[in-house]
Amino acid sequence: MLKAQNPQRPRGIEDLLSAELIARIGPLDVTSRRVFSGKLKGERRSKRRGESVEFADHRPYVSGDDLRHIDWNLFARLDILFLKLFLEEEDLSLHLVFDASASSDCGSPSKFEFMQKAAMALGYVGLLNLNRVACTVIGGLTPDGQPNPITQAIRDLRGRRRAIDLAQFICSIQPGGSTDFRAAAERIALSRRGKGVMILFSDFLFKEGYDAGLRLLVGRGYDLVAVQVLSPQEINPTLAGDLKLKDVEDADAAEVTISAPLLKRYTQTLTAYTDRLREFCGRRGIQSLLVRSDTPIDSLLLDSLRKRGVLR
Amino acid sequence: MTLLTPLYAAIAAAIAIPTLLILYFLKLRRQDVEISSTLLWKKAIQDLQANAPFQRLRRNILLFLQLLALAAAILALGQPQFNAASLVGQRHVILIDRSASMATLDAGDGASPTSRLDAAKEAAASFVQGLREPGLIDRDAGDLAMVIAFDREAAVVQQFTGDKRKLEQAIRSITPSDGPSNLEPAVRLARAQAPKLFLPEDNLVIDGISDRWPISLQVFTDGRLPDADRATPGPSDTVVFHRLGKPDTGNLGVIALRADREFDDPSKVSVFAAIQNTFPDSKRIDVQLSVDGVPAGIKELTVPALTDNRGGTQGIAFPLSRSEGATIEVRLLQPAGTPGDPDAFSTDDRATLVIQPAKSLRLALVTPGNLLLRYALESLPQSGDPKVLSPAEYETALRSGQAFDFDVVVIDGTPIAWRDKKNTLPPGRFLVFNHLPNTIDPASLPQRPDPNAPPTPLGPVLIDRGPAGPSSVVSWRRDHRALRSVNLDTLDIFESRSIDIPQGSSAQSLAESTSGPIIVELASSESRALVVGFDPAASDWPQDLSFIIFLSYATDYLGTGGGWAVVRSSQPGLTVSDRLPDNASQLECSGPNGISVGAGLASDGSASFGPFPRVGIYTASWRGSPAPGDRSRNGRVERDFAVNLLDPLESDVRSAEQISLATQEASASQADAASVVRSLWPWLLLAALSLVVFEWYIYNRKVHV
Repeated sequence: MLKAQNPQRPRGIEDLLSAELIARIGPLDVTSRRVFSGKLKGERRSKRRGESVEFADHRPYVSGDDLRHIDWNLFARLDILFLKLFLEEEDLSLHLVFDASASSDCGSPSKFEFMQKAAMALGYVGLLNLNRVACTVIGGLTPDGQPNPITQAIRDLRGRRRAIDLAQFICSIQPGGSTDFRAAAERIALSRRGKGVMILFSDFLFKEGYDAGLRLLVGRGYDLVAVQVLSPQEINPTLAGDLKLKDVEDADAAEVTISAPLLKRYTQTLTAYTDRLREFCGRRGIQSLLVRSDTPIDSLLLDSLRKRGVLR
Repeated sequence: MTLLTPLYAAIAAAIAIPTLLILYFLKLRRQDVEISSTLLWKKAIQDLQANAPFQRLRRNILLFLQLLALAAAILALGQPQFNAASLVGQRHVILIDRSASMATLDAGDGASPTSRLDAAKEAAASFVQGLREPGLIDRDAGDLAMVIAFDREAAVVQQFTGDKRKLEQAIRSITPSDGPSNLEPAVRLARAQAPKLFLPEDNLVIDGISDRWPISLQVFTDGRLPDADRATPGPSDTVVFHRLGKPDTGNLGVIALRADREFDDPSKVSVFAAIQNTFPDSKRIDVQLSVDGVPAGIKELTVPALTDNRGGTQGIAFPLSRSEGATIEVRLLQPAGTPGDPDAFSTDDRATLVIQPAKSLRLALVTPGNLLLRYALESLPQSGDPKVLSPAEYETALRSGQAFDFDVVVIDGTPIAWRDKKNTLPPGRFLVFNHLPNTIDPASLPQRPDPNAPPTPLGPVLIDRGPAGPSSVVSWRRDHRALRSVNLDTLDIFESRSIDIPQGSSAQSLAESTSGPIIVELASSESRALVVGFDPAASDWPQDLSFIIFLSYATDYLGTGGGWAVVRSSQPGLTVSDRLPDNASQLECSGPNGISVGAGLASDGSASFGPFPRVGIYTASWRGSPAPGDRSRNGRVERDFAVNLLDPLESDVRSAEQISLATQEASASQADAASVVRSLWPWLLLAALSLVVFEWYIYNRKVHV
């Protein structure tokens, strides 16, 4: 919850990805509940019937179908034209989006650092499996310390070698400023190319609300996964006394006297907030996930995301 | 309710309450904390406020509770006490009458009568319980009290203290005495013990303004105080009269007892007793006479009733034939064998008397050869023939110590030297005619620069102004035992000496002539002398009967210590002096119930005993030779003294409605008005603590933004 003081920022891929983590996440691959087409044939068996060698099914021939796919043997036996359907292999677009606003740079361990590492690990998995990986950052600071335009992004990364580029991009992000989630979501939605999996990391503590932003992102062909990252201090506050709580983003202040009833009420409010986010996402086919910033990255990937079918 | 330390409370209130209000209205300085988002906190606060009824009132409730707690604490600081308003002053002197009349058993209820003294002690103890406690901060804020017990004399039983336990112990320790009541010494003692006020200059005396702290005199008595009008409390003092006993309690008591041997036959003794009745009706009573504990006679007597607020009295006489010494007791009994005491006050229902054996005084006449005095002394019935000595023989007897065997030495016109001091009386009793002993030179008198200053004590000295020529007697002390029934009106003195009593001399003039004092008494601790400043032969006194009466009474007065020819008797609270043999030593005196009283021996053989606290027979004992009438037991010589109340005022035990002091009157108050004073501050502190706890509970249930 509290703003991190002089945090140690990761400076390269070795800070973001440990060798042990690489070994553990190596067998993983990004998956999607939907069938996505890509620009390049990848190593991926899509749910879309395609042109791979792996047979999937038959269907009756209709006019205009590619004659090359007619099962002539079946026609000889039944005198009916059937088309052989094969599982198509395609590449997957993995779009990683994380929040670099000032609020994400709070907590111990820092939510921002957690999101950096999680994005890097997921990006590495995507690159390893020859998926098209893009990474977009909402908010943050420019290298000269000015609040950023709405988003910064790196796109069209493919292959293990580009992991360095991804890591450099992620490490170059300085958290800060405030977030206009709706404008950022709109920018992402408009600039989106292709279909794929979009994994969005944020604390979703947007005063203007997350509804409009998420509505813009959903329904555009992306399989959207919303990961709400909260620090342990946000989940179980350790504050005490008479305090003036200042919002790191907009300097909004709340004067509180911490007491047991207030803490209880805060916990109830937080639970209601996360429940509402989960319900909102569930209704719109968005997979949602609440993680603490002290969760190990491998646990996030191997356990939480695999259970939800984001990875396999 | 009274605040013991209102000033402290006012100061604390003046500081604390505005501080609390200022603190309350000042905005709380909160610690700045940067957090990721205030979104959830604001929602939580809004929810909490929305769920809290009377949210606006909450702050006021806290302030109200805090003010209540503060008020309780401040009030506790003021140390309030209940029931303190009825008490006047902060310095109380508890005067408890322990005189004889306080032994009257009319204070309790009918079933179990208690004595007035016990009731007084109870009332005083409950009064002590009603004193204000000393404060925690200001120890002087509480009441202080002193306990004085008085009868004839007053004694401090407990000095000023606020310790109720000590005061109660002191009150309980007061024992009854059989003496009469004197309030004046008690009030004087209380005034003397009262703390001094601070005055800007020493010796500053302003009329009507006392230099003593005002005190409240709490007098626990039955009001039988004959000297109350001489008691002078301070101008600011208050006097509260706690009356004990009932105003209609009657009493029968022996108020006088006397035994006289007949002048011409000393073996015959007449015992006279006077009985006083303070009942509203006449009483019939049996009066029993006992001699050495054996009943010797009983007479029925009707004592008249109380009239004009004065007790009726009736005398009774018992003739007795006894030449030896004896102890005589007169006792009042219910008539005709009715059991029980005749009244509620038993101290005066009996009186005792010790009569000495009939004996002759041993007289010596020191004269160059005066036959007149010799024959006159030989005619006295109470003495044998006087031993006639010349001045030289007497001085020889003085040196050998034989001169001290005489009861009275009559000196006729000759100076006596004692221990190389010329014209100085040796220890003993002297009747001196036509000579002035103990004279001093007027030039040797000390100068007195300030005529208002008290004179320097000089002792029993005289100044001889030389021959005064003829004179006649102008006045004389008719109440003096040596001059009783002596008529000096017709006395003509042809040649007298002019006597001057200097200031500071203890000499007393008994008779004044036209040329100044003519009969003088010189008294010191060792000697007593009656000095007649003329030669009887140079006057017409020997032809008058008063001369032989004077000789008889004067030798009687001198030889028996001033009236002890027949009886040795005293009253409670007084002392007696008696002559003991010269070799008496290891003097002791004990009384009824093993009471031990003081006994002192002077160098001339006179001894003092007392004061006697109770009535009864006291026995003085010593080692040495016995005098006639003394008895010997276990190697010690014993002599009895009788101590009786014999006080009409003290025997009148009707309690008074009011006591009239010199400066004010005090009416009877109900002693049971005193009640226990309770300090409220512990309860107030408890209330303040409870309020703080409650306020903390409310505070914890509350959040304000």
